[in-house]
Amino acid sequence: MTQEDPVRSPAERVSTRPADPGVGHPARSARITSLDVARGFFLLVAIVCASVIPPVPWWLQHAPWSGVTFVDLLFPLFVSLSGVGMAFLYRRNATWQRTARRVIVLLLAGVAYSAVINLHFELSTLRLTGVLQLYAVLILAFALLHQVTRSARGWAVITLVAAVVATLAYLWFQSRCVGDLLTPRCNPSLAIDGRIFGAHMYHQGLRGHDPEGLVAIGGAFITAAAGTTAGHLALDARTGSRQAALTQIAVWTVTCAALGSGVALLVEPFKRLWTPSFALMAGALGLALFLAAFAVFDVYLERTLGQSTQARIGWPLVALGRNSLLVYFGFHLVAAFLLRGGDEISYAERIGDALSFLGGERVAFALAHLALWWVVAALLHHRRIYIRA
Amino acid sequence: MVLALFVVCASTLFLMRQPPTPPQVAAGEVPTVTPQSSPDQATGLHVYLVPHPDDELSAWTSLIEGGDLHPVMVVLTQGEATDRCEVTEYSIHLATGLGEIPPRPDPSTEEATAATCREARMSSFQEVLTTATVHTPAVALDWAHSRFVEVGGHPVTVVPGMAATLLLLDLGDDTLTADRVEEMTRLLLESTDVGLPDLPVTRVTASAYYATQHAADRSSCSDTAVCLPGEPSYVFDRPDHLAARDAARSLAPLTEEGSWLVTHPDDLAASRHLALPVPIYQQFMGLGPGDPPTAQRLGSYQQAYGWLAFPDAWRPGDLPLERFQVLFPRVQSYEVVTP
Repeated sequence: MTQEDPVRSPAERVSTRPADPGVGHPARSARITSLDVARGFFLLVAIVCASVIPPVPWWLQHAPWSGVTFVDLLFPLFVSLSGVGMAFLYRRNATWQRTARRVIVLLLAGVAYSAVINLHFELSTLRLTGVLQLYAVLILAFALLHQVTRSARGWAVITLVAAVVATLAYLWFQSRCVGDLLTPRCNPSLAIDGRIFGAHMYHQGLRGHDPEGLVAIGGAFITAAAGTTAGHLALDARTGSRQAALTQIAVWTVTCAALGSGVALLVEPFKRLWTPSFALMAGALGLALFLAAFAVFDVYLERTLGQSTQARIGWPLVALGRNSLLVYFGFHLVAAFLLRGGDEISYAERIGDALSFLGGERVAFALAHLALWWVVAALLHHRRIYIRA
Repeated sequence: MVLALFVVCASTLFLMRQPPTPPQVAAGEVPTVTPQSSPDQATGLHVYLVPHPDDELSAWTSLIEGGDLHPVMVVLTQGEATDRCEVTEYSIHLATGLGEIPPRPDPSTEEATAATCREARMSSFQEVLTTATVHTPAVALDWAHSRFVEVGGHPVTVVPGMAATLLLLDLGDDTLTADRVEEMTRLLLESTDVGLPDLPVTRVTASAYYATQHAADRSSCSDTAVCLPGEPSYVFDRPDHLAARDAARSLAPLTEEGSWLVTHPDDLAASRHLALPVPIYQQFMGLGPGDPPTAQRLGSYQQAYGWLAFPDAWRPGDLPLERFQVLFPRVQSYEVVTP
């Protein structure tokens, strides 16, 4: 946990240099709020989606293998926005001690989180992979690669090279499968994660893949790198025109979407393996969210209404976004407890029933859960307390 | 920016499009078998070879289609080679919370032996066969009057029934050979101790699905009712299954109408395709709503053989497709070997 001076927060660190009226740009805030706004909006949707009392509609269930449902897009959205955040974090030198601490904390917390969320504590088959571990590996990789390049162009190259290499690797691998089809019995995750993690992978390896294993981390890298590129483009707006940055981010978003669609003709896009086509298209969606937030908050509202009004309008979403890691993993844990806990009637159903005047049991529980996390985030933001690894 | 948002909307819709999953087999394109009550007088014997006690469903359409015949179900092994009798595998795969029935005796205890594993598998087999009498009365058996005989130096358990006979052998799980199966089948048919009805052998069926990767790779799908271009069949190339099929092929001259060998639908040799009625298939393979691994086990195969299922639950489907890991499809395809 950190209690920060606002000047030291990542979003604030992007610029402390005043605008130069002489080059024709209006006086602007040193702060880029769009990342926190985008994260906040994303969390609104994600909390509501995770708070559905069963029966859960099909589009809120993960696709069993190939195919992509709405809920399959949520974690990749988080990853692409995290990629933007990593550009903010590593644009300047971040200390290695802090990076190492974050990675270690995330790895350890990830094992505990997987055990709790799956209620599986058997050491011989304890799951070692998971969403936090995926995030930890990405942080380490991005910290290292920021030693190589800290420019938008550099990260665009990294993204594209990673996508091409991954596509070639998939084409090679799937040519070894029956009918060139990736299946639970023939896929790179089974070959690589299965060999490394064995019974310590997703569902003890029974499902033939690991959606957060090393292969999926490769896909998540592409998604996050796309976000990092956009983050660096936004950071470049410190010294240039925000309008120009907006255009560049839009072009980059279109590039990722188009390239992903093209790769989809070669490698099936799906979340279970986080294939390169899926990585690029899901990344483009995250970029679009960031782009919209950037256009509305950092360009339009700031220019037309001024910084203080913009900050007031954005405050509720920024409050959620600034504590995104805590809220994202926290609401999953709480939702799992409330939806699964209780005897025949779950805690979630009891809460929903008690508040059913809000529009029915299911709507009431979703709203109550959302309100809980929004209040927590608002209180923390008000006191400038931000929970990070 | 508007253009960018439009492009992303389009690519996201493309991303979330229905994946190229195979459609259900067009209704009516494959004949569906109709269950019949047991005949008062069977017209012939139907030798039904089952390599392991959980393979009997693979050719159930043949069993129903031959409703005027007296089934002689020959279970060739007792399935003791399965790794599911090991403690770790058993505990990982048995999902009692989802409705799977633990076999009796428990094959995973420290005291358990190969004999315990055999017994456990046979108890699951008995459970499935007993449940199947609801829709296929021909397989009603009188388990209380089981008896042991010796044929060709092998002990054989004979379970009599009004309209069928079950013969349980133990020719060695994972060590079956076609010659051995053929020889034992001939001896069983000739043996007076077994007590089969004095009827000609009308049909031999090998209820043993078999598809090699090579066969799936070079599949030439022409009948889109039963196979789908670009959708390879489920690969299952266990030698025991090949042995049962080859034996059935060799036994064809004994029969009046030939041998039916279960195969994958895009096998060029497949000449007959029959579908189980949906309610019967559901009684075997039914799963509750949701993702198969966590779905409630409803069918008898899911419940009684759940501990043997792979990858987690038996995957139901109209066709045996690799992508969906369907080993026991509703539409069953046969290579028919004429006498």
